[in-house]
Amino acid sequence: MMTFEVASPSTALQPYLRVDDVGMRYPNDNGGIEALRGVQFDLHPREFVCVLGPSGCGKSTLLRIIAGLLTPTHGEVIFYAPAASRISLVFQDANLMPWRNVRENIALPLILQGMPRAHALQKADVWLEIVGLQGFGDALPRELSGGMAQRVAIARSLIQEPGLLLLDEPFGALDALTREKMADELLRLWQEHRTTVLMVTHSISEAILLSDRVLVFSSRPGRVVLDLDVNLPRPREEEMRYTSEFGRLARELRRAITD
Amino acid sequence: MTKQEATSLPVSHLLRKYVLQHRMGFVLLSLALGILIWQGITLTGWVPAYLLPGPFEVAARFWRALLDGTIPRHFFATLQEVVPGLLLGSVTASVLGYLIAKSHVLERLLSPYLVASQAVPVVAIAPLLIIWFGPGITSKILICALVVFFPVLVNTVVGLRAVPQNLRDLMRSLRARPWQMVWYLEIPAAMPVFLGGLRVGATLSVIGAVVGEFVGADRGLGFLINVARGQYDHPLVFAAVLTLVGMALALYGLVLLAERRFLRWQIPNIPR
Ligand SMILES: Nc1ncnc2c1ncn2[C@@H]1O[C@H](COP(=O)(O)OP(=O)(O)O)[C@@H](O)[C@H]1O
Ligand SMILES: [Mg+2]
Repeated sequence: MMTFEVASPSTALQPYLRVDDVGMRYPNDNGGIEALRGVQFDLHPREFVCVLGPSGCGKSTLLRIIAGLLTPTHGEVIFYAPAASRISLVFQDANLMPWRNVRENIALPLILQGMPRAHALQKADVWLEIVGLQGFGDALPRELSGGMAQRVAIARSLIQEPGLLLLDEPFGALDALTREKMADELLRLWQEHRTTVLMVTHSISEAILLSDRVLVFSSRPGRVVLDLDVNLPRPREEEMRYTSEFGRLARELRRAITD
Repeated sequence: MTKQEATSLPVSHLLRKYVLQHRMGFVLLSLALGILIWQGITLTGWVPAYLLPGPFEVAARFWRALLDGTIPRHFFATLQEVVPGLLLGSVTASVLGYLIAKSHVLERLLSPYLVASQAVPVVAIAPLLIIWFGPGITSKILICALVVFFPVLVNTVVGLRAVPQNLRDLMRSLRARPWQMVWYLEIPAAMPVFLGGLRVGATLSVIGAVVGEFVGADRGLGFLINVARGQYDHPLVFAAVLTLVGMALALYGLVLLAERRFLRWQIPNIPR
């Protein structure tokens, strides 16, 4: 019995990363702002996890810590994935370089990695098509709508074929219809490229329709108050919103958020 | 309905469109108007002709000085001071500006001197520089560099401070190396403000050279103005001044060309 248990250390259970007792206190004049306290969770390979929580509870802070842009003041983020795998962060606004055209913006990560420019631009063209922006390669960011700019940002992120994709309210600036379309595209890309995704969103239904698991954060200092598995079958349709299981999940999430 | 809409197109918009389409024509028109007024003033006799020579007299004098080599010789003498001075001043200013923008310690240490240096008029330092470095070309280059230095420095610092933090974060999340940060982010992002400083510096450098030549020189357009004034050759004074203006405009135009080239992403589309 015992041997059997020990002999099958399932690699599938090895997490992609562990957020281990992470706390973050921003310094200020009176003792600092405590954005996060005792945040603890694992992220498994190829999982799609959404984060919900009131605004100002430290969600962006958490993503910036995982992306390595910030060092937590307590705890650590442990990666079990091969060191070569890349982390890519999609910011809340598209964050494009206004002096580079769309194609050059998408190719930027590859150029920074040292890929020859012409080759990188070719790859960018492939991604232009994937996110449905063919014909806009030479456009400048100021000529794009919010939704198009955000698609460019997502293409720029995915062109790196990241092992971990961090998304900070990526659809926040979009209208409802574009939002749904973009979410569909993101799901398709995630299924094709099998990356691990951690995405912050404000929308409960978006979280349920997209993710394998939803983490709910408390208000500041943020910590995980609910870690909910979403076991709805994929592919998920818009109609699932009206099923009883969806309703149950939504109610549970709403209760956790308002508590 | 349709007619009303057509006539309600703002006149200012049409005018702007017209000016944009006929830019060169308007430059010529404005020149012609200026010359006409100038000629008008000399014809009225308000100002004695020996004090304010008419445009045609100046043109004739310019033509003669051009043919006998006076203007070209002094033009190139001044240009030899202005161009190296402009380069020296803007290169040192942008390097120092970069360091200041990066280091608050350096900024605190240097800014009192930089501000104080601006309070000292060039005319006051020019004689000193000429005593230290001689009446030759070196002192003029240094004077040019000095006047160019400050506007370029300030604009470099301001431009770099204005690099958006979220683009810095983006570059960091893409694991950009330090030189990539400079090349792919900081230089292009700071370029608009930097070129604004260079535009001011380009015209100032011509003034710097003339100040230096006034104080002590044996060639250059500033020197020529001094000599012509001494000989009561006022048409030549005017001809030399106009040549200086031309030089400043040409340098200014070069910076504008650079802006066209590097800031195309900023230039709004011409309304059609
Ligand atoms: N750079 C910073 N300096 C100081 N305080 C910050 C900084 N960034 C965020 N905060 C504070 O930390 C808290 C969490 O911020 P954030 O992570 O952006 O929240 P969320 O993304 O969940 O809205 C907020 O109260 C915010 O004011
Ligand atoms: Mg946020």
